[in-house]
Amino acid sequence: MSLSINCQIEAMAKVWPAFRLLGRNGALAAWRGPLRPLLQTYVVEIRYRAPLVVERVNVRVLQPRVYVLAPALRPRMGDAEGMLPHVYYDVDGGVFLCMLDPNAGEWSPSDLLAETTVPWTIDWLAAYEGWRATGAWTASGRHMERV
Amino acid sequence: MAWSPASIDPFADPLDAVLAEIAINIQLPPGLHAKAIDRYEAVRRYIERPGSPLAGRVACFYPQGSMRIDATISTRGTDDEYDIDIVAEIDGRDDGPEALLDDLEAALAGYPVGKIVRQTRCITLYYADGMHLDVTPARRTAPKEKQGVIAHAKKGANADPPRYVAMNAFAFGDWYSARTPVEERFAKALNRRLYEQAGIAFAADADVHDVPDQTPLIIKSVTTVALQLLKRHRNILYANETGRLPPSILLSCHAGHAAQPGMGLADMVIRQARWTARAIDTAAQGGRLLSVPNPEYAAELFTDRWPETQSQQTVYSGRLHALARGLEAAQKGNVQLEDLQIWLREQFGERVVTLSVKAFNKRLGSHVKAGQQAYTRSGGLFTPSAPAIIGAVSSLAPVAARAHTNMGERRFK
Repeated sequence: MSLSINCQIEAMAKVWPAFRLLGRNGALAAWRGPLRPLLQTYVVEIRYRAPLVVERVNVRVLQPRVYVLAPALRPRMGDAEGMLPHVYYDVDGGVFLCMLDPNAGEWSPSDLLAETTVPWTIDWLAAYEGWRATGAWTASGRHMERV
Repeated sequence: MAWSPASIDPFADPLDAVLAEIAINIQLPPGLHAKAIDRYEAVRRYIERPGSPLAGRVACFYPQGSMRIDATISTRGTDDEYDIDIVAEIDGRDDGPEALLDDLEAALAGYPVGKIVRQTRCITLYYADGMHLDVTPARRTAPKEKQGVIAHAKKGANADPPRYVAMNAFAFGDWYSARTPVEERFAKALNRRLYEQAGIAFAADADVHDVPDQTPLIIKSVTTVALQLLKRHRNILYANETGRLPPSILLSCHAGHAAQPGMGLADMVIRQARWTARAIDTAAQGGRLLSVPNPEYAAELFTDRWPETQSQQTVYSGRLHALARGLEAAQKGNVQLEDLQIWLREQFGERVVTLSVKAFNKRLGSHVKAGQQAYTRSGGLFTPSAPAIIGAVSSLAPVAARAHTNMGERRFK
């Protein structure tokens, strides 16, 4: 069963108190907060809309969107992973992280963002730093090629 | 209670973990460690063979310096050559320092190594695999355990006449060992990594005081690993210089004084760097050169050949402060792994740091893929060497690691 946005807000406040709720509009909410996977503190923003009970869930569309606000992600041209590894691109050129396989049942709206999205962002950022330093993405990873 | 990763696991703090990987990459590899022991025993047998000028005159033969305190690292200017120091205490007639070196040189003549070179205070045997065995002849001068003198005799140097120099390397080794007890959690974690890298299974569950002969505990304390990092830093700093460099024994002595079991690795490197830098600064402010005696034998000065000038010592002090400042900035500020790597390459050498950061990244990824990570409340990734301890750490975020696949689309411009 999908969790309500209130439930997500409550869990985020409890588990990650450094994250600030930026706002809420119906079933939509956004948080901003710091994460320090290794020795760099990043400010990230999470945006999420809890689905309606009657809504057919499409995880690829519904998945929480995580944007790294600061410091900016550093692209690398010519890398086999792409200029940034494991991200999606907004229509306006914004970049958000992709941390789950939408077809593998790894995440659903019945999961708490506090227990999935935030720790997965930490995993992603640590792997990103490793990729930047060595050229190797050593965490899990698979690409969905554009057609 | 404040979050203190070092007290929990040597790989819990990212900076400690990267430094630990560097330390593993500069260690005397386990195979060479065993070989060094075999070699110095073989050298002793050769020196004492019937017909040798020293037959029946070697009272004792023991490792000194880095080998004695398990702080051996690769030699200056190399990543795979190692100096092993041995003392041969010689009994019998005393014909002076030059004759003492003459006798040892004659006793070692014909020994089957690549090259034998007489130095000012020792005879060096060069092995084909990059090991150098320095054999220093000594004479006992006092009843105290192994207190004595070593020969100083530079052939053809009239301005530097032969003499005996006070020495008690054995007592210093005991003093150092007493101040740097085995730190069990640290020793197990680092030896496991060291042996893994050498392709040898380490008996990780064995008591550290009772490890099997085939996997001796090469890494024992945070203090000594920090000392090895400082020696490596010095070697890189002086890699392109041919003159004397700050002596290892000076750094070892300060490490012994600074020892404080239980500290994290980065904190201990900072502490030792500051210890030596401040000692130099104090001497320089008084217009003096740094003078460091053997804590077990005041007549032996570890600084008898370095520093020779004020500028020599103040340049080194400045570099030690810079190392400490850089590590403190990494701990307290914001630095990404790639930027840290660039800075660490300048401190500890390009090849070794590149290998170490790769190993760190590989380890990090394998922990995440295996779900062996946890998260700190400040959003840190916690990948301890022993994942079983995750459940015992109360200061972590109440979130369990869960498998997930990073997907996304690739764009190349």
